[in-house]
Amino acid sequence: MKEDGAPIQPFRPLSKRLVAWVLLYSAIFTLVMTGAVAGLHYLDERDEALKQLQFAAASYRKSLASSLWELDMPAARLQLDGLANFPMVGQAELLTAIGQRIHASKYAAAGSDGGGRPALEVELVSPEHPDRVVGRLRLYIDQRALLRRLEADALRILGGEAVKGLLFGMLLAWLITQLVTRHVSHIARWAGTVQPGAPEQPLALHRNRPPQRDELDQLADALNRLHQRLHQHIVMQKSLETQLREHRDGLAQMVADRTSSLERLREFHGMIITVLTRFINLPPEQASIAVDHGLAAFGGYFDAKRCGLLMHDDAARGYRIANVWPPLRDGARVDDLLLADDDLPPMLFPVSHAKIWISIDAADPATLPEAHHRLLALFRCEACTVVSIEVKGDTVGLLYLIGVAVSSDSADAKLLQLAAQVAANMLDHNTAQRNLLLAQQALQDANRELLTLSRHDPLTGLANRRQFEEAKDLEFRRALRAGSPLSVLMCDIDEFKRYNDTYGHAQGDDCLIKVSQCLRNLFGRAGEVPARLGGEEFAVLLPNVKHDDAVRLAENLRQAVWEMRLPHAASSVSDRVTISVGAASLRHELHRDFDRLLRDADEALYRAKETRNCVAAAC
Amino acid sequence: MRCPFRPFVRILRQTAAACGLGAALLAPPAQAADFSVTFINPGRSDEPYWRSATRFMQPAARQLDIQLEVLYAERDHLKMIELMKQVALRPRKPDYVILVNEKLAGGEMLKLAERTGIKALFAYSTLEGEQLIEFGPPRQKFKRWLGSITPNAHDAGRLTAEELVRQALKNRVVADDGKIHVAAIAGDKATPTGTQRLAGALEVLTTHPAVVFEQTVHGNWDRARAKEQAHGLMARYPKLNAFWVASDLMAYGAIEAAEAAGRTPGKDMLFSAVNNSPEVLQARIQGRISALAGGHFTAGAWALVMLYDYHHGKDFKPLGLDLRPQLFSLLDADLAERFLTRFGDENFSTIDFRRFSRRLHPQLKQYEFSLPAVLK
Repeated sequence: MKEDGAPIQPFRPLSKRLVAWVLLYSAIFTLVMTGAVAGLHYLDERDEALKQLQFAAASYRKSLASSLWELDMPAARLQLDGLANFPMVGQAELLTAIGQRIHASKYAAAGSDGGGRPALEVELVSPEHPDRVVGRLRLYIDQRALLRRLEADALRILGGEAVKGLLFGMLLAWLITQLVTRHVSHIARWAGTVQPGAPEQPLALHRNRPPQRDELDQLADALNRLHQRLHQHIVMQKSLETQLREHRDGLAQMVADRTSSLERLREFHGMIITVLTRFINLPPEQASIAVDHGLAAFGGYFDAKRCGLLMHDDAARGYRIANVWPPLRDGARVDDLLLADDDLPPMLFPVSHAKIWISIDAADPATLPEAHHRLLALFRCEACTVVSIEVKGDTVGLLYLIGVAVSSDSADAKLLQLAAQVAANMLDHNTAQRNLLLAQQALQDANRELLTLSRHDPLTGLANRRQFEEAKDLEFRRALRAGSPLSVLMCDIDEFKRYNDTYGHAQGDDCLIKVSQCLRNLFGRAGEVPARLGGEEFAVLLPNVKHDDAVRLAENLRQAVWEMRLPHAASSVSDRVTISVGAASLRHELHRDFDRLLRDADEALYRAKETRNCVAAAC
Repeated sequence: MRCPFRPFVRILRQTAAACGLGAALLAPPAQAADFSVTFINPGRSDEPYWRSATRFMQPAARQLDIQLEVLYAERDHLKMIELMKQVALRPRKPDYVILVNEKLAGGEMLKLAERTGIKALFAYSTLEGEQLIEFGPPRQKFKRWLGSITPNAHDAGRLTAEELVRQALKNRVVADDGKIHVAAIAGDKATPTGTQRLAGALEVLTTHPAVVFEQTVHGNWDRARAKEQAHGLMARYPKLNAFWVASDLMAYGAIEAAEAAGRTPGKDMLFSAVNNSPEVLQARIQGRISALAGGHFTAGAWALVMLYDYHHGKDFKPLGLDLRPQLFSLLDADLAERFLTRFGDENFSTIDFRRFSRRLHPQLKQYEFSLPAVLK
């Protein structure tokens, strides 16, 4: 058998193949049968041959015995030859009592040794003296004849069977041709003429319809059904093709529509992204502007004349305009506008977990419900769309578009919903940002207060000892690094204890404040740190101030306090409040740390205290 | 011929060629013969017995002015009939035919002779038994059947058997039981000559008190076959002392077998024979053959004498149409010696055949046909 891909497969009728197989199998069967029958025949033939041998022996027994008795050896030989010529006798052998051996064979070529075991051995007795054995006759089966007979038998059977097989094969071929292949060929021809398209003549077998259906009928019916189905299929295919063609024709438009819709979508997404992007790292104070931009984008996208956000104010029981774009023409402050719930149709009431979607187009005002008219009137427009804005499931506000009606089942509905969501986010964000801004400011204020509190003397507002410590270290290092001058003044209100005792602590505090004021007024330059170290003791850190200048400044200070003329009745120095000042300046070779400098200043102050209301300078 | 006398036989054959059939046919008679006779010889032209028969007839024919023609059938009885047919169809037919009822073919030949008007005389053997019933006696149903002259074969058997027993007893050739164990090798079962010889022998052998007769076999006048049979018989009967043999050739065969078996003919194994060929005579003289009868070969010549007489008006009818004279004679060594001396060359022309004719010798009451008579 050739492969399917073989280019041309020669045609060979089924009947031929069938006959070939029938012949082959009948040949095999014939051979096997012939073998079996030949085997049986062999046994039969052998028995038959033995009978013939017995018959032959019986026929010649007396004459042979007589010949032997009469020593008529030529006759015996002739008789033996005769015996040997008996049909199934291959060889005859005569052994006389007197030791003679006569041998006769049918075949000249056969050996005279008898050729194996004799098939028959007969004693020959004298015709005159029956007790006298004159010889023994041995007969051998003619194996060749036996084989020839078997051959002939086998050939006869073979021939018969072969003829039978041949006739049977031919009959089978004829029957197959008549019953099957003729019709199969007809079916093949019919199938060859079948064209897709117009309905053909249905397949009909050219034969008398047998009473029972057979495979051919089944085949014909199946083919007819197939053909019919094929036809239907083709018709359907055609209609589908037509549809497809039409569809294809409309496809360009569809693609265009789709492309534009996609483009629109993309645009929308781009817009949304742009809108949302603005909120990234947006300074809180600009949040509202960003929301306005978002609304502008929405309005532009949906072709709305105006787009706005209404936030519900639960306390005020109404909607406030959170943002609107473009801004209201009349320039009114939006915060002031409140759409009171009482003025609104009930469908706009914020209800938790209930979406609001109202789209109104006044193209046919007559059909509109009253509420819609009210809404249109409210917005002063011909068409509008109002969508709820939800944050965490709660309706917190409304997004409205003026001049356009986007119905909830339109293609833009989803986008609008998304916009509403974005708007919700924007609102949320805006609120959050605003809250954040406020919180930040509060925090900053608190921090500043805290810092002031921690570094300044609460009574006088001057730097306290802590800040002074920080500043002195800083300035000392800087002076050491730069080799710049640094001076420090130590001040002490003279007889302040007596002042307190005389005037009370409140007056004392006031005195301290006034001295502090004086200090602040004198030392306001950058880097100059006047500080209250505790009680009535003050210090001033003077960077970049040389010793002479420091002394002078100390004098100025003493002078300033003197000039304030604060009464101090209990003072031993004067009637007014005075101060003593010790000044010290950094000497690089001497002062390893600021404390030494401060000690110098302290020592100077101590000396000044000896006289009070004076300035003493460390040397 | 396979015999120990090969050179001698060759001479005989040459002689036969010169004087036999050809000579008889071609040689014109010296003087005008009285009548013509054709002898259809059943034997072969080189067969001693039948050759002797012819040779013995030839001088007789010459002396009696008979034109003799001898046709050999070469031991083929069908050919005998064929030869008779040829003779009968000849334009010039012989006056007489001498026929031999060899293998019972005589009847057919007689019919041919009767139909073509040739007078026939049987010699050596004649129609007997059933044949005789069919054909009837001579000169009745078959007018041209003149009669017959046959040797008394029974006598031959009897004579030789008696002599064999006598010789055995004389030479004490007996078995350990003191008896003579004898087996017979006869001729064939068909020819009367053979059967009668055997019958004569059996008459003696089966009745003689000193004889244990073992068995008869038929050698068919064949030497080789007789040899084989003798061999077989000796094997079968270890006590065997003697063979009665119906002919000289078969006797030679038996002797060969005995010699091959280590026996000495004439000493511990005796043989008898019938015939008077030079070979057998020689054997008789040597003692290899102990009993021999012969002379029957002369029958042909005596038939010529009878035809001569008949032709010349001296019919033998008064003596009987079926003559059975004492043609056989026992040949002892002396007689054999004499016969050989005189007829060793088979030249019988010294015999005066005319003296046996009753026409020429009317004083003869009977025909005195015998071998001793010839030798006188």
